[in-house]
Amino acid sequence: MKAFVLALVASLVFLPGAQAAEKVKVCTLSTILTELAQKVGGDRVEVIGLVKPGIDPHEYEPAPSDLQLVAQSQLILASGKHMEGYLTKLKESAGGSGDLVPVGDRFASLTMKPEEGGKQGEAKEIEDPHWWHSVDNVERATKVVRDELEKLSPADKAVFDKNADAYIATLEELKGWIKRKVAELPRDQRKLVTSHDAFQYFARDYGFTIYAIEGVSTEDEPSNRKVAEIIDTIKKQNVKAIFLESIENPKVLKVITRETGARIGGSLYADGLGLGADGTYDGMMRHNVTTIVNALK
Amino acid sequence: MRGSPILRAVLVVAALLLLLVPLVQLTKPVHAAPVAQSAPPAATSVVHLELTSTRAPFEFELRHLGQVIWSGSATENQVSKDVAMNFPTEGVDLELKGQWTGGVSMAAIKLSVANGEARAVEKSLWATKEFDDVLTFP
Repeated sequence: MKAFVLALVASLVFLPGAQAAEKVKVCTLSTILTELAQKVGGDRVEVIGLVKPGIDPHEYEPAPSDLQLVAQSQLILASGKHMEGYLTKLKESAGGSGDLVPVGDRFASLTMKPEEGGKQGEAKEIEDPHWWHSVDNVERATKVVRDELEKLSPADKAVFDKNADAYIATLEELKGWIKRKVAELPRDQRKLVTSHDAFQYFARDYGFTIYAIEGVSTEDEPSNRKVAEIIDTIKKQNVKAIFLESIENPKVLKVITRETGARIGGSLYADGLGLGADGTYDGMMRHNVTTIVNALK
Repeated sequence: MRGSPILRAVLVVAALLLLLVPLVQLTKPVHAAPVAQSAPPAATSVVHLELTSTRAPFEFELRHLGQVIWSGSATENQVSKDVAMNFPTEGVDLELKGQWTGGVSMAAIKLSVANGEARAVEKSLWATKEFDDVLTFP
C-alpha cells in the first residue's frame, strides 16, 4: 500500500513536469526569425530554420522535406511583406494545424516604385520586405514572436517575457552603438549604392540616400538605362564606394566601379544572417554599419 | 585601273592602314577619370552651441564626426561656446555625453545649436545620472 501511495505521489509530481517539458515546435523562413524564436523561446521551443544562412530568401523554394517540417510545426514564422511569394501554397501543400505568422505584416511598411520593365511590371508601389534593417522593427518582431509563443504555451509566459525583455535590451544597446558609429560619417556623405534595394529601412533610420542598381528582389535585372543613371549619379554625387551583397553576383557592380572610379566598399548582408561572427543579428548589423561607415568616410 | 598589280596592292594596303588609325582611336576603351575621392567640403561656419541643464554641476563632452569639439565641467546651469565647423545642408549629428555629479532624480540637458544667423535648434536628453545620445541638427 505504501509503495502504491508513493508511486501515485511520484506520478502526480512528475506528470505535469513531463507535460511542461513538451517544447513548442517552431519553423522559420528567415534566419533573423530563427534567432528571434530561439532567443525568446529559449529552451522551451524547438526551432527549425528552413532558410539557412547564405540562402537567398528571394529565390528559396521549399523542398518536400520542408513541407513535412511545416506540417509538424505549431508555429510557422515568415518575414511577410510579400517576401515569401509561396506562403499560401506552402501552407496548403503542407497541411498541418500550425499557425502561419507573417511577422513583418504586423508593422508599417516602406514602399517604393518597382523598376520599369522589372519583374513586377506594375505601376503601383510595392512594399520593401527587408524590415530587419531597422532595429526598431526587430524589437517589434520580438514582441510578435513573444505573443505568438505565449498563445501556444501560456504556462511559459513568464519565461518568454523575461527572454524577450533581455533580447530587446541587447537591441537597445545595438541601436545606441549604430547611432554613434553612423555619427562618424558626415550627413552629406550618406549615399549608399547597393546591388539590390534592401536598405530603405536602414536609410530612413540613419539619414542615408539609397541608389540601388536592382529592384527589391535579387531576381530583378537592372536595365541598361538604370545602370547608366547610377553611373551618372555616382559621378555627380561623388560617391566614394559602392557595396556588394553577400549572396549575389557582383558583375554589374564591377562594371560600375570601372566606369566611375568608385571603389568596392565591401560586402553587406542584405537578406539574412551570415556565418561565424556575422551569424547573429547583432553581428550582422555591426558588420554592415562598420563596412558602410569605414568605406564612405 | 591601270598599272602594276603589285603597286595597286600596295596602295590598297596603305589605304587600309590609314583607315586603321581613326578606327583604333574610335574603338579604344575609354577609362573614366576616377571620381574625386572626397566630396567638396561643406562650408565652414561659426556655430553657436549652448548647453542648459536643469541640474548643476555637470560634466559634458560633445563630439562631431567622432572628434571632441567641446568638453568641460559646468558649475552653472548654462554654458556656451562658438565653434568653427562644417555644417552641410543635410545637417550634423552631435554626440552629447556626460553626467551630473550630484543628485539622483531625473534631470534634463538641452543642447541649442545656431548655425550663423539661422534660428537656433534645440534638442534635449533626459536621464538620472549619465547621458549619452546622438542628436541630429538640421
